[in-house]
Amino acid sequence: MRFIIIFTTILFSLFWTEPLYSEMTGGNYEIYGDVFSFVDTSYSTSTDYGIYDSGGEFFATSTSGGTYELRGGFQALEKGFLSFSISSSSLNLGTLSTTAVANSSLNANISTDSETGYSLTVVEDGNLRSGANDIDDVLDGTVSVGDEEYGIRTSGTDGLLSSDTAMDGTITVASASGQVTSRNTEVIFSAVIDTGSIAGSYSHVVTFTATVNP
Amino acid sequence: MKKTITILLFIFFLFFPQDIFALSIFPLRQTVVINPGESSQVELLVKNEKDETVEILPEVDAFTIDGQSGAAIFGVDDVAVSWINLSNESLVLEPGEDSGFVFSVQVPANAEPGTHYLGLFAKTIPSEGQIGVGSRVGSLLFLHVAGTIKEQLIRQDFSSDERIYFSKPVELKLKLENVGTTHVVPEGRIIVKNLFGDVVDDMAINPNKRKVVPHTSWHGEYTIESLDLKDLGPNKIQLVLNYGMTNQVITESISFWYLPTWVILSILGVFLTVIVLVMLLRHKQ
Repeated sequence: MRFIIIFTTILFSLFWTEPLYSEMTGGNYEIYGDVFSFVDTSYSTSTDYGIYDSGGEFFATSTSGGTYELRGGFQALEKGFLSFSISSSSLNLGTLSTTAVANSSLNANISTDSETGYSLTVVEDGNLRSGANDIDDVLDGTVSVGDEEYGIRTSGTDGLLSSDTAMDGTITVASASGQVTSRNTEVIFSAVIDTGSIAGSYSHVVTFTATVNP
Repeated sequence: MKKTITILLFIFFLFFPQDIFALSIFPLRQTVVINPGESSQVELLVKNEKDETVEILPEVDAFTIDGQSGAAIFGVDDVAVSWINLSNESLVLEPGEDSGFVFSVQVPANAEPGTHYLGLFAKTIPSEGQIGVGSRVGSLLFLHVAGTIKEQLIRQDFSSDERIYFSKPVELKLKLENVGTTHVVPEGRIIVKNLFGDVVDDMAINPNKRKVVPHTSWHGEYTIESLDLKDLGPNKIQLVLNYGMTNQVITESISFWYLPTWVILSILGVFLTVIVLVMLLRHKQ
């Protein structure tokens, strides 16, 4: 009898497994689902995260070194906010001159609780131009009388452009590596022409983009 | 009186320009995993923080991650942008109002497994002017196509500027390239040991946990300042890093010699002094 009890206990212990509780927490983030969504799914919650189960499940297992199988159906939203405001939808440098640098500026203001911070970038749709003629991008860090030059610089805690910079491709004008509240960056546009500049009505469009850092 | 108020308001708005665009968005980041041939919906909630009505448009753009700054750089080509349909053209938000854009994602049946990096934006139209200023604020979407995912980083460079250093500091470079199909976060340590096995320096790799997306490189630069007399001679630098859900590991060792100039001169000075003394002694004899 004693042998049967011991044997049964050992057998039971070998095949009993505790339920696996999966947690999706990280040191610095929380995966979170928001009720505003009208996506028709069930919503799972735990102390630390909320996940939408869209009819499937997130499942990854290592099949061989460096690879794993991912299954469809997982969806997750990350909690937090990002607020972005800008003070102008257009700027006017006026009539450009050979004797003085023209300046115009705007203010960009950002707040976020993201622990990765944010980045604010700008890209132009082409050079400041009038037909086939354009104002040269600044090359030496300073838009100054004597040369035809155009560039931008920033001021403010998060501003990254301490000198006049050409908008060649996507330029990061401001960033922070953590949470910020009402962080303001002034972006100053400067231009000057020289005696060789061709008269015309010069314009272009710039687009500012604000996101949290990945 | 009315004239005074008008003037004061004019002065107020002249010196305190009001924002023309002030939006909050949610979520900051979102992840979706979709099987090839299937679809899903993702959303962007937008709130008008300004006290004027604003019209906003939805937009999708692809991004990569700058290898040095870690910032999202938009405007890159990604076929996944074409997989996304927008359910509404524009939104007009009253002051304080919030609403949402719905983005429908249809993954083609022949899409390769892997990850695509997209931004879901609310944007404004620039006004006419010498410099038209458009603006957009958005949520980052990590769109995973289900299937076999490969995680692989290649160590492109792990080196010091010199092999022999006559003075501090020692500069190190580390460059990793992602040749896999999804992003990873490399983490680890660089440990420097002297001839006696004592730890000279111990530095964390990627303490900010920057992601490395496929087809991009991650750069790190490190400086070893804490060298002193006990670290004379050969020093070994060991790199140990891991990454990914499959916990891949990269290890490597390089070395350098630390021979400060003043030590060399001192040794030479002693050596010369000894030679001179020996010669003098022999001469006396």
